[in-house]
Amino acid sequence: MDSSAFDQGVAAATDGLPASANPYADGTAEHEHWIDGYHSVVDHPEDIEERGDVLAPTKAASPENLSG
Amino acid sequence: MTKVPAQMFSGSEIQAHRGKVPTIAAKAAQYLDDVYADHLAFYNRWGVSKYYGNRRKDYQTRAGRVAALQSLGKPASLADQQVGTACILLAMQCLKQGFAAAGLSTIWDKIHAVLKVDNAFLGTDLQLMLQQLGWKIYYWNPNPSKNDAWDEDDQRLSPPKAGKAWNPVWGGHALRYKSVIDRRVYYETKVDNASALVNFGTAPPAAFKNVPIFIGIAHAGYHVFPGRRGDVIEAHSMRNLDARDNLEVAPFNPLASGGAPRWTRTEKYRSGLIAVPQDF
Repeated sequence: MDSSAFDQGVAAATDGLPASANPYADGTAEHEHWIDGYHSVVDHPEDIEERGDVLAPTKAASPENLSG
Repeated sequence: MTKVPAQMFSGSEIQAHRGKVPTIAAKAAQYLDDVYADHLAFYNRWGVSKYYGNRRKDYQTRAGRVAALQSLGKPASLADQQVGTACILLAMQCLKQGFAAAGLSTIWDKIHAVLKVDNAFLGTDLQLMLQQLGWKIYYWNPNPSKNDAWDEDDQRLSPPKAGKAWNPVWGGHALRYKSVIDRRVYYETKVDNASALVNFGTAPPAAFKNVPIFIGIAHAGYHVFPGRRGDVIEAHSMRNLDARDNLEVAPFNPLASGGAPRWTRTEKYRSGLIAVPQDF
């Protein structure tokens, strides 16, 4: 993974730049890594799912299980 | 567990931020308005959204977006103007602009660096960091007497996946409400105010319209929604290119018809937290 290309993609996303701002040539690994970074700034349901498990109704009968 | 360090800002950073809140809020709010106006103008001209959902795998390449545009009878060249979006991303974008306008990009960079750890980008972490800068965290729940019914509704609409006891779209309304009331904690966040945005039904307090910028989360961060002066301006990451509501604006009023954060058939946002730069 080219972390600089990935990070550049993240930065472009947080700057609100269009996806066409990818500076790397199509077909290169850097191009793909930039795209991955650009689309990485999203909500992450899989992470949130882990926190949800802590609050699963079956576990929540005791107060110590409330809210993590 | 949150990746937000305790006391990650210096006293001088907190003080500098406090003095620049009006600038941060004004610029962030203006950014939200500008993006939404841009979205509307593009959509009204082309019938597709300039802002596509970042989680849509089929839109993540130019070829994918071109295919989608052509299937809708639109010019392929529009793909080069399109911008990825997501709920947390819009919130981050507006704050980045606000902090930059205030000359506080170094503080924003610290926030961004924490959000980026493991590419998590969690709205709850963003709120925790804003709280460390002096923002206040308000618990919102328009009608706690409905918590149990809402939980049942969530579980009926979105059963947990195989092997899982929890579905991330669930609000956990009763449990989180009890935690807020008993411990003043919502998931990992200390709640500063557990009354002003509670039990308002479909009539949010008028004072909320005075809040110049806010960052909300619903259902422990499943959804993130920025807004200003009573209105939510939110982005979505999974909708179709021809959806006018990839970005949308509506009054913060979760239970009212036409209110926000907006619902889908299975995503009914009915409680959470809102970070505001100062008490209202």
